[in-house]
Amino acid sequence: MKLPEGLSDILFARVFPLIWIGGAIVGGVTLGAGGFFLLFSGGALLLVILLFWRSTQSLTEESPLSLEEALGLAAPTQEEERKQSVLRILKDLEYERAVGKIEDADYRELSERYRAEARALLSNVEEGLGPARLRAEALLEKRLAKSANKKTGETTTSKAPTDSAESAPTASSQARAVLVDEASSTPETEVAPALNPEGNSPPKLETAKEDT
Amino acid sequence: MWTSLPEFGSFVLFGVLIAAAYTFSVSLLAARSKPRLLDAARLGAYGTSALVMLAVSLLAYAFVTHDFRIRYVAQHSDRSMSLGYLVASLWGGQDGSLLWWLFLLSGYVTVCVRWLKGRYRQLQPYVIATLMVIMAFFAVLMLFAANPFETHIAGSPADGAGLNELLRNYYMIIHPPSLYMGFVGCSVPFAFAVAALITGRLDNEWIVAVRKWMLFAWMFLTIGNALGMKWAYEVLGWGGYWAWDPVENAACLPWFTASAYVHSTMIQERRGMFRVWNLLLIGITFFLTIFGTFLTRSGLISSVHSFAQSNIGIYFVGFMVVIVVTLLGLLVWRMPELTGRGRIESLLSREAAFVLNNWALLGAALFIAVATLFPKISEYLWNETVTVGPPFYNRWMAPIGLLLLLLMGVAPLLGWRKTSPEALKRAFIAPTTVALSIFLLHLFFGEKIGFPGIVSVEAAGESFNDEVLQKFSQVAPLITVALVAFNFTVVFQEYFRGVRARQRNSNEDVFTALVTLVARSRRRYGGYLVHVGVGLMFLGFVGKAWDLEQEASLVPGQSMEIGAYKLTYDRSEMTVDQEKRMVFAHMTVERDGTTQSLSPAQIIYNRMGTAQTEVGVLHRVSDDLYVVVGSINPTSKRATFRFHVNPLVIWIWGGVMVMLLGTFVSLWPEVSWKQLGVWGSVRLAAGAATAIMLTVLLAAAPARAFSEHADAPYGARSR
Repeated sequence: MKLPEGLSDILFARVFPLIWIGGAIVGGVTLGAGGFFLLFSGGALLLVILLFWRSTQSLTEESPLSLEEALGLAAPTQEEERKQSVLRILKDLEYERAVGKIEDADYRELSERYRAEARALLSNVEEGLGPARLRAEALLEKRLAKSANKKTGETTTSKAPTDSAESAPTASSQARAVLVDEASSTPETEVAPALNPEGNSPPKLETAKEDT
Repeated sequence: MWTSLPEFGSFVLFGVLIAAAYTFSVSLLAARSKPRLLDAARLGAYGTSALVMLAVSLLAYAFVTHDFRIRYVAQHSDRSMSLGYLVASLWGGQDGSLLWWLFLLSGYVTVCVRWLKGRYRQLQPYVIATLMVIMAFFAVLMLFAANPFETHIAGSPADGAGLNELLRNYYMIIHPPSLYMGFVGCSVPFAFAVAALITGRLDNEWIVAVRKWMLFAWMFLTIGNALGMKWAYEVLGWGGYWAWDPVENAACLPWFTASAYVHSTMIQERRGMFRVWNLLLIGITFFLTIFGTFLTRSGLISSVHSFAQSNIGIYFVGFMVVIVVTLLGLLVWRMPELTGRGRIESLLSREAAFVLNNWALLGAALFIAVATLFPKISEYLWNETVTVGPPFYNRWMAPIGLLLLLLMGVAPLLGWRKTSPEALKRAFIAPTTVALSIFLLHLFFGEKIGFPGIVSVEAAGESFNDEVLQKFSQVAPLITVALVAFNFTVVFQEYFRGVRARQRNSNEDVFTALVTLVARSRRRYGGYLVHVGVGLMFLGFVGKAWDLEQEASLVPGQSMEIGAYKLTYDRSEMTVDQEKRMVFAHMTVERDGTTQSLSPAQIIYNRMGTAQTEVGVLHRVSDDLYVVVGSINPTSKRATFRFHVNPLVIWIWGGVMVMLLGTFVSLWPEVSWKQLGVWGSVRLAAGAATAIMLTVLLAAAPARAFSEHADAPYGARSR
């Protein structure tokens, strides 16, 4: 019997530590420090077994990637990193000008230089994302159409419409599923720009941190 | 189970090695061909950490149940010890402290792997793999050279030898874990640096990733070193806080290089420069943490802190070679991608100041490292025994420290890339005016308030160097106080200009502008607070120039004077408990019309037979009165004392607190309350409350662990 994933996670991450630490504290109160460490060790041993059990299961499991995992496969390109750096420099320039650490003429010269670089980088990033975005949109449309057909078929045969409505995937989860499928089946280097959450919306200058 | 606990403990350590190897392999597989295996690697890392926790818990169980079959338990505890000291015995000796080291590392691994979920996908497997190599090294070390579960060959003794009495002190209980937290914390940035080099993702990604990890490790290095100073001051009873002991030096080396890194990383973030330098600094810092551990444990040098001599040195040497070869190999491999980015446009720029600051910090570390090892080098090369004592360090470190203090004040005044003459004038005028004013005031009026600007210092020799250093030492107090004033004005000016700029742009009141300014730029303004803390510490250090020392032999009722203090030896008193005799010399101290009492003591442990001192200290803002009782004649009650008046020492501890406050500000997470959510806010509040409580505890906790009755719970005072 396999527990639903959410439930097993809750049992593993929330209930088990409570029982473990709580049990050790009760043991400590009733049996003294020795009881605490003995029960704590027992819980730790159980935790080790559970963790390696799950780890070895993950070695062979073929379940689809979660959205978080899929997004985790994304990594900013070097151009995006440079873009972030230039945006931070521009923000810093603003700060230095505000506190009078830089002359107006220097500010104008440096600001223009970095703004030009930022524009070029933004343009490159956008161009780089173009094909991947088109592919993602096409996959999404395909998946939505496929899902809609399936849903129509299910609705005609369903005896309990409310149940099927509850279990039917939402548009957003379908969109996620497309991304997940794409992530599962596409080499990482190709997926990365398509999944980059930053790359999907035009970056804003204001979002750069003022932090030095 | 009971009869096999030691064997089970060794088995668990073996399990740690196997688990680390498994996680290492799965991580590499996840990196190279099967990204889905990353989840297995992450669970493996958690499992490895849980195994270490199990080993620590088993050893703690052995301590509290007095399982003297285990040699380490028998050597570092006895049946009379309270629970607090039994648990502290976990890191009281060589083998246990290595396990404790691994335990802290496993804590870092757990938090780091949890934090990495959904982040830095390409770096992540290599970060986990590198951390597993470090864990595996410590597992090998314990299994083959320093196993804390090893049993007594001669069978189980009836009672243990007990914890070293010098370690039975509040500061000694918390000093090693704090320092280890700092040392071990440097592993995570190192793992990221290795991952960045292997993957070739050498831009700002890894720099941003390790920013807070390095700052966190740096914070604990600061706390650990400060607690070590406090322990030396309050417990060892020689009158000072830093004796340039080899192990103290080893502990402060990574602090210097980590400080250099937290500055130089900003150049890479802003300008994309110094990428090789930053990687090297991370590598050197991690190397120095291992080197420091090697110095403490290999028996290479003798020190009050050293553990027993053992054969683990060769393992450390091997690991250090692996670190150097790996780092240099990767750097050479990636060199074409690392070089040729940007250049320093002007010497009057912040990056130029940071470079100088880096060289000064690294120079300080190099000087200390060479001076620490010089006796060994001299013995090896020239077969000569040379001693490098505190006066040598003090003479040379004073100019290096003051150069750092100057650069610390100058760098924030300069802009990135270049600073125009007008901007330079605007920035420097207030700090320079204040510093010059303080310099003149100190020069002319310092003597009247008991802190003369120029002091007399004897030359160490007749060479030119000795003469120059002597002259410098004579005026060092004057320069230090002026530079501290310069730094304080710089920080005030930076806050003031920032607030004024916000007020101009947003029409905010002063308080709102200040809070918003700090909240939006935590690292910058937290860093300035750290600078204030360093300035306060320098004020404390310079107090050494005005200290007084006197010895006296008094009978009850007799008085003596030192500085502004009048001390009367009232009576002696002896109390006895099951493990020690405590002989107190009760004194009355008068100063400026107020009277206080002081009771320095001698503690004679039944087991050791030798006497330990417990220092009597009265802390004041202007100075500490520090009294050590040498001996008390049981018949005549005549006692010999050593009195010290140590000016401004309290400013050192105050400076550390301000540094920690600044680091907290810098480390504060950059998320909005909305993003944080209710539970996040509660957890954050609980974390902040715990941190504040710990800080207060560190500041206010009693140091007189010696004179506690053995049968009293830890923290209870016997009188």
